[in-house]
Parts: sequence; C-alpha cells; structure tokens
Amino acid sequence: MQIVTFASAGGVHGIPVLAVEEFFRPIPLTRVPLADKRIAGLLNQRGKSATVLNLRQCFHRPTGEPALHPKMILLETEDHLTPEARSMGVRSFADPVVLLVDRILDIVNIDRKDWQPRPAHITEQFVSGVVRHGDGYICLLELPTLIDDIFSPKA
Amino acid sequence: MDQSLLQEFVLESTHSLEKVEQDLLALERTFDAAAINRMFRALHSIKGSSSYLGLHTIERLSHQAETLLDLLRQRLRELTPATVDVLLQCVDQLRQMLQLPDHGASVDINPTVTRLFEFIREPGVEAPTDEASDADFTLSEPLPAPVERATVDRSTVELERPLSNSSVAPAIPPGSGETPLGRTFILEHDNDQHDRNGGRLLVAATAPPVAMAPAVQSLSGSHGGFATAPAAQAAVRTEAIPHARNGSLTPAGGNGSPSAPPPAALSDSRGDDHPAEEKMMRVRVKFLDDLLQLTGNMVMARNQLLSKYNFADDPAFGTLSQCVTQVHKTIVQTRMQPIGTLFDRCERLTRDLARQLGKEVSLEVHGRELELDRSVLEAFSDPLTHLLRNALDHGLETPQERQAAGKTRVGHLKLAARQQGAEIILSLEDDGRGIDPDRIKHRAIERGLITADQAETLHRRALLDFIFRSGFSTRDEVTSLSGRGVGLDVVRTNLESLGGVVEVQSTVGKGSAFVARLPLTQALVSSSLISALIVKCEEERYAIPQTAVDEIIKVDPRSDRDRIRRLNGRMVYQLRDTVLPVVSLRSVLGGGDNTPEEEHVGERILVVIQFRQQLFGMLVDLIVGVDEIVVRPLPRMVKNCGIFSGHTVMGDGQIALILDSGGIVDREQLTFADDTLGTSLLHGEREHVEGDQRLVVFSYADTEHFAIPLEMVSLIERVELDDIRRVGAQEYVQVMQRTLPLLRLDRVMGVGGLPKLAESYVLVPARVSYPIAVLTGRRVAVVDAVEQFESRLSDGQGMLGTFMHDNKLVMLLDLYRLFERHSPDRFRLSPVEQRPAQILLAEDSPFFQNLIRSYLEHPPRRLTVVSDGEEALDLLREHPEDFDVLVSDIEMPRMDGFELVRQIRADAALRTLPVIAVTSLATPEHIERGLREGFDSYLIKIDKEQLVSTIDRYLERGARHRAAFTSARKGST
Repeated sequence: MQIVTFASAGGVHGIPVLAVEEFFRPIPLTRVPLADKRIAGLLNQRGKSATVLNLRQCFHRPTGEPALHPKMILLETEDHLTPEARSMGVRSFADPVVLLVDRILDIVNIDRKDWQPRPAHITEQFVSGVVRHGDGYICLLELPTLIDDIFSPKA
Repeated sequence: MDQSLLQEFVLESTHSLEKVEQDLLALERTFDAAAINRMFRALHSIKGSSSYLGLHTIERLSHQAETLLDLLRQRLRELTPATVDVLLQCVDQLRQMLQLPDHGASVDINPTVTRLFEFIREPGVEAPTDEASDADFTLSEPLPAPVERATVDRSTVELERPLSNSSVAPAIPPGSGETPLGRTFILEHDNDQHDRNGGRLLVAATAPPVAMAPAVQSLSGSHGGFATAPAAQAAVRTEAIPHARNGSLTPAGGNGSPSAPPPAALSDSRGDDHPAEEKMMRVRVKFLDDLLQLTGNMVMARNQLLSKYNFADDPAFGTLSQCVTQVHKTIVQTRMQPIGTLFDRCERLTRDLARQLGKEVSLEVHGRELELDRSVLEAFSDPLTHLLRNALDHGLETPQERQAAGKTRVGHLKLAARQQGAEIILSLEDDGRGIDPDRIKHRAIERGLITADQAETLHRRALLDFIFRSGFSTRDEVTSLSGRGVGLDVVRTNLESLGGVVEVQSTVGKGSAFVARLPLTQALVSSSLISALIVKCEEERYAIPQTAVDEIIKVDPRSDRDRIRRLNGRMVYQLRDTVLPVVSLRSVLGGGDNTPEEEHVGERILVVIQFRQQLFGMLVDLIVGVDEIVVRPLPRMVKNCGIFSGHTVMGDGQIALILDSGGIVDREQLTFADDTLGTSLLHGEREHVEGDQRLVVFSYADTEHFAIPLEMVSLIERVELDDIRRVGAQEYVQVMQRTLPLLRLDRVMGVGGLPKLAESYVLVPARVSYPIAVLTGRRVAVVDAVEQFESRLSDGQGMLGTFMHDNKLVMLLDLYRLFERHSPDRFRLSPVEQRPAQILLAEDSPFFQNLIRSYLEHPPRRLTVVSDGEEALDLLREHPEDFDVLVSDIEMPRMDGFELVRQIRADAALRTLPVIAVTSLATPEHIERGLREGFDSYLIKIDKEQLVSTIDRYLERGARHRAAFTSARKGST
C-alpha cells in the first residue's frame, strides 16, 4: 500500500495516500475558543469547511520545534473514498479534516507484512503500527482512532 | 430484481400506509365507509405489489389486514377501538418491514397475524360465507389442488398437533416464481372454540395468467384433516392478483366473473387517491442536501466577489446574483416541511397511549402549516413524544379522578406550533392535575439534590425546573411509560442540542404547559441566510444573529451614565430602569476577564442580547458590521464548546463562528429572576394574539421617533458626522468600505432636523438594488412592536402608519417611498423593477385586516389597508400607478366589494388591475356575481396558502398593469 510520509512532533508518520485529498500551504484559519487543544481551528477550502487538527498537539511528548512553514493535508471524506481505498481498509470521516504537519516527506510503498506492532512506550493509541524505512521507522497513524478520541475525550 | 421498482414500491407503500394510519385515526372519531374502502384498496395494492415483487411476508401480512378491512367494509365486523389497534399494529409492522434491507423477510409477523386473525374470525359469524363477500362460492373441498409452489406458514409448525404439511408441500414441485402473475391461496384454519391454536396455512403460488381477474373469492368449508379442535373450520380464500406494473396495481379489466368486485371501485382508487402526487417527484434527500450546500457555497462565493470587486453596477452580475439568491431560496424551500406531518404522528401516539392508560383524551392541534427544516422536525419528534407521554401519564388524570375533581371526563391536550419573533415555539398544554412545586421540593430534598435550606430560597420556577433533571421523577411507581425519570431530561437535552430550550408552567389542579423554544436559526435549513451582527474579539470575528441583538450601546468609562459598574464583582450596566448583567466576550471565549483598570480605558461596545426574552449585555472589542450570512452547522469536533451554534464563511473566505446566546448564558451562569420570566411569558402570549413585528426604532430630532421593520435593515453603523462628504447637492458616507448616498429624513419628509451631534448611526436597508444610507440619529433600538399599528394615518408620502411604544408615538417609515423621494431619477427609471409589489387591501374588520397582514408578512410585502370600498377607490384613483393587486372584502360599509370592482373595471386607468375577492360570502350566487362584476379571483376566507399563492400569481400581471400604465402616462406627457 502506498503511504504518504510526513514529519511532525519530531517523528516520521504515514497515512494511506488514498485517504488524502490534497496537500496545501497553510491558509488563514479561524481559532475555535474552548475547543480541544488538538484542534487548531477551522478553515474554508474551496467552499468546504474543514476542521484543522494540529498533529503535534496530539502527541503526548512531542520533540523538536514546530516548523516555521508547516503544511496542510486535507483528508478525503468518507463518502469520497474510492472503492479501491475501501477495499484496502482505508477509513476516513464524514466531515472534512485537515492535518497540520511540519513537512511532507515522501510517498512510499510498504508491505502489509512489514508492519510491526507499536512499541510499548509509544502510548498514542492512534499509532497503529510502525514500519522500517531506510534508517528509521515510520509510525502508521490510524486517524479515526484519534478523531474518535477528540469526539469523546477520555478524561 | 429491479431495484427502482422495489424502491418505488417502498416509497409508495410507505406513503399509502401513512394515509391508512390517518384514516384509521379518523375512523375512531366518525365512521366513514369511504375511508374503509380507501384503506382496503391501499392494503390490496400493497399486497398485490409485494406479491409481484416476491416480498412474501409483506404480502401475507397485508393480505390479512385486507381481509379484515374487507369484512369491515361489508359491515360484517364492527369497528372497535381494538380493531383499530390491531390494524394500526399491522400498519406499523408493515412500515417497519418496508424499511428493512430484506423488506421484512426475516421479521416474525406471526403475532400480528394471529391478532388480526382473532378479529377476522370473530365468533358468531361463520368465517366469510357466500353472502359475506361480494365474490364467493363455497368450497366444500379441502384445498385447491394444483399449485406449483408453496410457502408454508411458520405458525403451522407451532401447532400442537402438527398439521399434515406433508400432504400439501410435497405435492408442490419447487417451482419458480418468476412469472409476474401471482396467485395466492390462503387457507385460514378457523376455530370457533377460541382455541389459541387457530392454525393457518398460507400458500403462495404462481398461477396461469388465465386466473387473472381482480376477483376476491372466498372459499369456506370444513376440513377435517386439519382439525385441531372438533368444530374446526377452515376458510380458504383465494385471490388473483392482477399484473403489477411500476409497483402499483393496474386493474385487469374485462373479467366476466360475477364474483368480481365492481371494477369501478378499483379504477376509482387510481383516480382519487393520489391526485396531487402525480405531479410530484420523489428526490433523495441526500441530493437536496448536497444541492443546498452547494448553493450555500455559491451565495458565499458571490458575497466574497462582492466584497472584492465593485460589481454592484454591472447588470449581468446583478442578474447572476439574483439568480443565486433565488436558487438558494428555492432549494431551502424544498427542505422545509410543515410540522403537521409530525403532529399527525402525535395524534396516533395520543390515541394509543390514552387507550393503554385508560384515559380519555382529546387532542387539539394548532399551527400545522408552520414549516421547518425536515431534520429539525425529526429532531423534534423524540422530545415531543416524551412530552406527550408525560402529559398523558402524569399530567392528565383518569376519567374518574377528573370527574371527582369536577372536570370533564375527557382530558384536553393542546399542541401548538408557531413562530414568534425569531423563535419557533412549540407548546403542549394539558388541563390535568398540574405540577405541585411542594412535591418537587420534597422529592429534590429527599434525593439529596438540594438541602432544605436551599429549597426555601428557590423560586417556583427553579423548583419546576427539577423535573427536567435526569433521574428525577415524582412518581413513586414506575409505569411502562414514565416514572423512571427518563423522559423530560431527554426532552431538555434534545432541545438544547438543537439550540433550543424547554420550560414548564403549571398550576396545581388546572394543568401544565410545556413550551419549547427554538431559535429560528436552528429551525431553518442549514445553509439558509440570516442577518447577523459581526463583532470582533481578539482579532477573530464572530457572528451574532440579528434576531438575538436587542440594542447596541457605546459605553464610556469616562461618562457617568454610560459606564459599566461592578456589582459583587460582576459587571452590570444600568439600561434605563433595569440593571443589565454584563459579560465580556473575551472572557466568554476563555480569555481573561477585564481587569477593573481596563474598564477605565477607552470606549467599549456593549451588545444587548436577548435570550428567552431576557436581556444581557456583552462587551465586544469592535463591531464590524451587519451581514447576510449563510448558516452552516458546527463541525462535530468543535461542537462541545457549547457557545457556538454554527459557522459561516465571511466575504474574505475566512470562517467566522456564530455565537449562541443560550450557550453564553449557560457558560456565564446567568440566572434570571423568576418574576421577569413570568411577565415575559405573559408578554409572549399577548404577542401571539396580536402578532408581532420586530422594528428598528430611532429618534431623529429628539422628540420624533421612527421605525423600520428589522427585516428591511441590513446594517446599522455608527459614523462621524464629519466624515459625511458632499458632492454637489448629494451627501455620501462610507459604510463598510462602500460609499453610499446619504438620506436625511428632514429632507424628504416634514420632520425635524438632526440636532448637532458628533456622530450618528446610519442604517443601510436590505433588499434594495440601490442602497442608500439613512441617517438615524444617536439612539437606535430594536423593539418588538406588539401594540396596535394604526395604518389609517398613512400619508402615502413615506409614512406607513403610527403606533405607540413606551408611551411614545412612533412613525413607521416606508423606506422605498423615501428613497423615491430622495433620488427620483434612480427610482423612477423603471418603477416596475425598482419597487416591490404593493398590495391594497380593502377590509373593514380589524380582525381580518390583521390576519391578512400577518399572512403577507413573510416574506414582507407592502400592504396598504383601507377599510371600505370608497376609500379604496379614492386611493386607487389618486395613485393608480401605486398598486399591483387589490384584495377586497365583499361586505363593507359605504361601498361594497361588488360596487368597488365594477367601478374599477369601468375606470380606464384601473381596468387591468388584478382584483381578488376574499370573503365569507360563499354562496354560488355570490361567487357567480363576483366573477361577473369583474373579480379575477374569488377566495373564501381564509386560507393562507391559497391567498398568498393567488396574490403571488396576480402580482406579475399587476406589475404589467403598472408598467403599461406608467408607459402610457409617459407617452401622454
């Protein structure tokens, strides 16, 4: 499966390419006071109102500094997933969601069998597994888990 | 299987089941043979179609219902509430089955069938016999012999003494049901002995086409082989189902069978059952939603373009812009549904519950025609169900209790929906036992919710409010309906999630009234347009629905009067004679509260916000302006903030959040005193009676007060009078980056001038293609005008009438007329397009004047009211070009409607004016005479829809009339 990798919170992460609608440079967003701290705000991208998730804020212990020129990834909405994506088990959400990340890195092909379970000291539930890539590892993110948690935060 | 056919069947059947339900409920009140026939045909048609589609469970159930209805329509069975019960149950089950993915194939219908069967085989009547049905012959043989395929009813298996299934089933080769010609044989194994084991065997089979005839053949005869009890009888009914096409039955004609029901009955059913539906198209809601969202985007994009480029003068853009608005409006309309559809369900529920609880109830329903977004209607459904349950179970007493208390046996429920100001109000009143605050107090103390000391300090209303607490019930015993403390808290939660509130008022012994209020912004379709005040706080913009804004005040710490003060640490402002609680938007949004020092620095803006008819002030950094915004729901991930009701996209493409006054009240823990609520509710009642209108009131010269309907205002902004620029004789002012011509009232009407001021508000009207800013002086307020509006003082020169407000005489202005006077060139160029339609109403009864005025309020139309024919004629002769349509009563003093229309038709200038009669004189002679005298349309009082649509229909002709007139006049001068 092809995944897009990006840098955030000091690590390298990946999500299925088929779950991505587009990448773009940040556009002005509207802060939502009193919202979950993981939510950076709302933005309007071509008539669609999307909720922006600051991925960095989603990690318990982010390292490094947030990028000066971050990037945005607009995810596909559930009803726009291609049948191919669905058959591969790619999941998404009903509402448009944008991920705010430090840098877009690459698109890589990974094999299901190379997935390894998340090491115990990574406590983020939404990291569904890791995969070896080059010198390091890519954390595979299971975004629905993350968003479910924002919908109904567990304490 | 043809999916579209199946879908069509589901839709159509669901629809006809709804009608069956309504008929059933109506039947309980009055017996109506036609209704029974209608129901019979509906079930018959469902049975036929389902058989064709191979939906055998549905077919079986509908067949049984049809059988019972057939007996009912022949008066062989009596229609009792219990019969209605079972038929309703059957309707429910069918409806449920239709919605299932397998269309009920897996549903166990046996309990329903068994119940139906109990009624069908009513003792005393020997199952259907020859004189029983209109189409029968008695069959002494046990079973019709050759069948190709059979399904065996599961219930037969449950029989104590197994039937000899084998004698039937193996005889039937596993045939295929692909031929569309179905034939159903149903063996009803009857049992006189009230034996619960009354067995049935259903055999569905295909039959050769020859058998096709819409014949109902009832076969009966004893059949020893199946006997489970000595006196058992088996009735066999066969019925040929005509070929079904497109999910509806087409009667097969030309059958010579004497047993056939009159074919006319069947073809009738096609003629009168769904006359309106034929012009309708069913569209998937999803399409509409998408379309709506897209047009919402179009509107927003249009607004963005408008704010970027000055297109206002480009006619092509004007056309495009108007089209966008129209398309949006039209699509919004498609999502609206009358609340009557929900009320229908309430009638059913009331009936069922009343029977279940042994209570006698009459339900009165008002405001069926109020239209809401269908999703809101759905969301109302649950709370309403709970409220009804509560009213029936807790509110109303049993007939005995009621009699003992000196009340009528029958309890009375009143369900009403209406729009009041910017809110939708849904109320349910009962005349039951009422809620005893003392009992609630004890219960609350008992449950440890409050201490006894606290209880003493609580107001009556606060006590009543406990019934909305989760887990709170004053009932000691738990019934199947309520008493478990779930219900009212659900009502409140649901309504609050919609952005609404629910309150209760109650008098012990007299009854209770639950009132749910929902802001219009929530009740309307998402993506609908509302007018909103845009404010700024910490560099972000927020929208406040205009309907929530009562007043905007500049507060100045240096001034003694306009100052925010502290009371127990909380901010307050002295607004005339009330102490207004004040919150700061910054602290509402989670920022720090203003330090007392900050309060002394510079001017601040205080927005006075109305919430449930209570006022509070909110300090904001800056007012950006007023905008028409497209309301969009809040993304789910930020819903829990609690202080926003939605979001919108602003002209620059950025998102702004819409503030929710209810949420702010909650977050700031503002608790309003009891007594004001009481008066405001009374106030609400009064408004309801007289109809209200929100008006922007301002004083120009200090002693003269003017008003403009809020709906006609798009923006109110403060300007420095020094900023007014003069070009020739014309003054201009900058409002929201646009330069607008300025209108001073004293230049266009005979009123006093503006006193010397440093600054003033200007008002920019909505819905005009050529906006002019109106200078409105220093004090601008929004009021609900509930007082009687006196239109006779209309001078035709810019004043529509007067009314009293706060002991002040306020003049209602006719903005369009003023604009005409301000820049005659602009507005006279093409009067037909520039000026909205003007309706003249001649009606002597103030009641009907008000009624018709209220009908024509939304959307606002210009209406001039005169009270007799002579007045109307004088006005028309004086200003023949002013009116597009005349709506006239017949019976009026001085000159009646007949004479009026005769005179109009004889007048060269008025001959083409559309004239509509609206009257209670409804005899054919009157109607005939009315049309002869020259009325274009003759309406009977007083059907809103009809009146509005008729007027709208004639407006176009009226505009042509006026255009012709105007050009004729131009030609002659």
